[in-house]
Amino acid sequence: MSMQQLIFAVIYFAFGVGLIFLSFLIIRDSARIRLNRVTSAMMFLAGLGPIFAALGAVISPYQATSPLKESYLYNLFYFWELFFPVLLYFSWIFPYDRIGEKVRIWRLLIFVPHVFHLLLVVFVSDTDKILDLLTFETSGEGLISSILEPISTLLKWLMIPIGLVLASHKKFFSLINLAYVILADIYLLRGLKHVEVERLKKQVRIIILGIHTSLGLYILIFILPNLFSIEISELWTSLITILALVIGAGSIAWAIIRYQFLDIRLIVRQSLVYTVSSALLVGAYVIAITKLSGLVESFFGKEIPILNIGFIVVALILFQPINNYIDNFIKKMFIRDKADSRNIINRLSSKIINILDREQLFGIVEETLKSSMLVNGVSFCIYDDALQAYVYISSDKKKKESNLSNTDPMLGAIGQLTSPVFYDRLQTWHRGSPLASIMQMDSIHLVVPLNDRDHLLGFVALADKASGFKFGYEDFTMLSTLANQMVVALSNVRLYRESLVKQKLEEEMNLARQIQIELLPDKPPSGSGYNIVAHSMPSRTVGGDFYDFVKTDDNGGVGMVIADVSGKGMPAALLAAQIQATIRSEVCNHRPVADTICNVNSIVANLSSSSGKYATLFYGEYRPETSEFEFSNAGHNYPVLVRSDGSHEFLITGGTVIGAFEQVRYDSFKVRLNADDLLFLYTDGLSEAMNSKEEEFGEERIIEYLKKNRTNSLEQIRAGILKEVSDFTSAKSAEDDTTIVILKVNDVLGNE
Amino acid sequence: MKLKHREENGVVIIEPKGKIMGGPESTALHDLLHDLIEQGKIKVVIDLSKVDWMNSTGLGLLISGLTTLKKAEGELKLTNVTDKIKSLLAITKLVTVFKSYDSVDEAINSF
Repeated sequence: MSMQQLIFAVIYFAFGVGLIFLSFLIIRDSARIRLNRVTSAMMFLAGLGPIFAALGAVISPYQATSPLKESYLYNLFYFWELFFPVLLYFSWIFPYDRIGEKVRIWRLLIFVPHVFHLLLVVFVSDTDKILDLLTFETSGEGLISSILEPISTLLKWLMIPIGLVLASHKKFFSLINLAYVILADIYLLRGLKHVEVERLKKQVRIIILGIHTSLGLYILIFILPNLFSIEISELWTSLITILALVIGAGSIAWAIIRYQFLDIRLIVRQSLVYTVSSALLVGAYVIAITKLSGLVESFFGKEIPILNIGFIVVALILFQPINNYIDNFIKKMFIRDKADSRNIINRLSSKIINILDREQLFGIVEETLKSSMLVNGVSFCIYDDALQAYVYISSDKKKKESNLSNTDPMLGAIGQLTSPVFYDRLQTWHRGSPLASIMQMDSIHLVVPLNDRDHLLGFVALADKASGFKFGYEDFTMLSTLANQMVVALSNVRLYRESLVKQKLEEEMNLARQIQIELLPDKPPSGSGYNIVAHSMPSRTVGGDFYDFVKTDDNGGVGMVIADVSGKGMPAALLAAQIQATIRSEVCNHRPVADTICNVNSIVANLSSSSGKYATLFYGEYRPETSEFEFSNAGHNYPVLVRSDGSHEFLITGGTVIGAFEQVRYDSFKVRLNADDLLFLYTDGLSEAMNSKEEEFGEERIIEYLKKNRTNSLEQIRAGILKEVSDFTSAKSAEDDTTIVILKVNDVLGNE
Repeated sequence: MKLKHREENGVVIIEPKGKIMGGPESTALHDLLHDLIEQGKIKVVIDLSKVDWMNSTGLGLLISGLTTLKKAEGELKLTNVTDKIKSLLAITKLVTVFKSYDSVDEAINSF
């Protein structure tokens, strides 16, 4: 045997062993999956080819005339050709299973030609011999002969096509094999059209490319020379054969490994560690036994055969459990980076726990399910707080989200579920359920409920797998875990949304407070003969209190407003701003007080009538030169005028509230203010301030305090009354704005 | 606030219960009045005997009810106004706008 032949034999052998090794890996991963079984068989047969070829190359030079080559068994070599029908079978179940539960008989017929071929070459390698055998029978005479003769003739006739086939069986089966490869190619190409998962498409393309390449090479070296009797050197034949096999089978193996998410490096590493450790174990055991038996021998002075048998029995008993232990240990060591469902869940949970947006959450879950389980589509259904209804988000992104009725029977059925179920199981509730018909359009296969305690948040609905595989036990476990994590993630999303709304409200409140504070004059005016202090404290929720001062004439006249707009927050603040602006512009017209208020009312009512918003307002003008205070009270708490002698009066005259009705009559009234008279304006935030017993501070307490402290400075009175109120309410924070304006006349210029 | 209503001699009597404080549930009164106007029922009496308290927003509800009915050429009358609410109506001088009666019958007969 030449060196060249030897090298090729070794390479052949190596590739053959490699392919067979792969076939074992694939079947070991899971023998329950049909795709694994078929792929494994295919790899195995593809591996047999080169191994036989290698053996043939080694045997042929030495045993050119050996009895082995003569024997029928030598032709078992053709067994590897079963690769082709298996390849065709493979093309039916990849990229998705088109065979289904029951294998129809015609599909199995594809094996017939090759089984026939094998039988033929093994048992009928020489037709002449059989013909001889048959003619021997006919030499007899009589009845037996007359019966046997037609059978013999028939058999002879039958032998002719067999003989013909046998004579050119290599050529003939080259063509059949070619036909199988082309058929398989067509099926794979057709299958590719139905694949939508990008990742899966890639895998199929790799396989098809591999098959095309090896097909081309196969035609080049086997079919063309056989059909046209072209001579190709053995070197090229061997080279191209290896290439074709490696590319064809290799591409399939690679695609399957990727496709099935077997981590090939991991498996190889795992197998290596396993093999080495087993070998070490066996080696150690063998060494231990020889040492031990040597010891025993020297002790007893002679060999004891029974001892060796005993050792072997012990080995058989011990070896299996130890091996299992090693196997488990290795699996545990490597499981951490295995791309299994636990890992998927771990990766997913670390991602989704930080998601605060529902669409983003669904996006990630969908992507994970599509890439790890290869589902064709993922739909979601979720309860929308804003719509107060369940919303179905179809896997088909072209479809709009559909709002569901809360009484949909299908929703009720899903609400009762505690774990994922097949959609078929919910068949009872299909009738009269709009949801069911939408789900049917999405060809939903599996429903995963999202339950938060007893409350159905929604569900995830999965279409079938792109691979055509069934959802297995492991899938169900993973989906249950996924559901639990989604429930947590969804409640995070909800909390975040709520906090956003709260934050928005808070911002609005702050803005309203800002407006309210900016409406207030920096400091009250001080004129000759009078003093004014003012205070306004917006409450937490911000009402619509304000006060303002306006110059009414050039003789020191001052107009003062205190108002309380109904409602809270931004709307109240805006109405307050509007009323304030209107008053300022109306005062500039120098009209009588009653007319000013009447105009303000009609303008504001025009703007805000029928909204139910209004303001209570008190407006008064103090004219120092006459000591007169003219006012009009538009539905406001009665201001208190505490006279220097300790008596008090209420300032009531006016009309109803501002802004509610367009035409309201307002009156005004004049009072004369004397030195040391105290005028106290306030809003109901002060009088209605409540203590923990739900008692109001009340008008009486205000009057009482003012009377008692009327000689104090304005600043003291202001601080004092606020302290009095806060002492009364103790810890309770004010629910309404508190606003006060105090005017004290200290010097009367008038004609008293 | 709870809202009940019944009809007597072509007059709708609305009986709110609890506190009229505004808030989301208060639109109920507004909606009810609009429904009644659509049905052509524009004579309305609000019986306040079971209303404990009313804040400025609640008062705003009554005001907008009154203006809505007035625009539809109807009328809104009050009855059984508690002392507390009476003083509120007095201070705001809404007594001049709302007609109020001592009993439901009196209010019905006033139409």
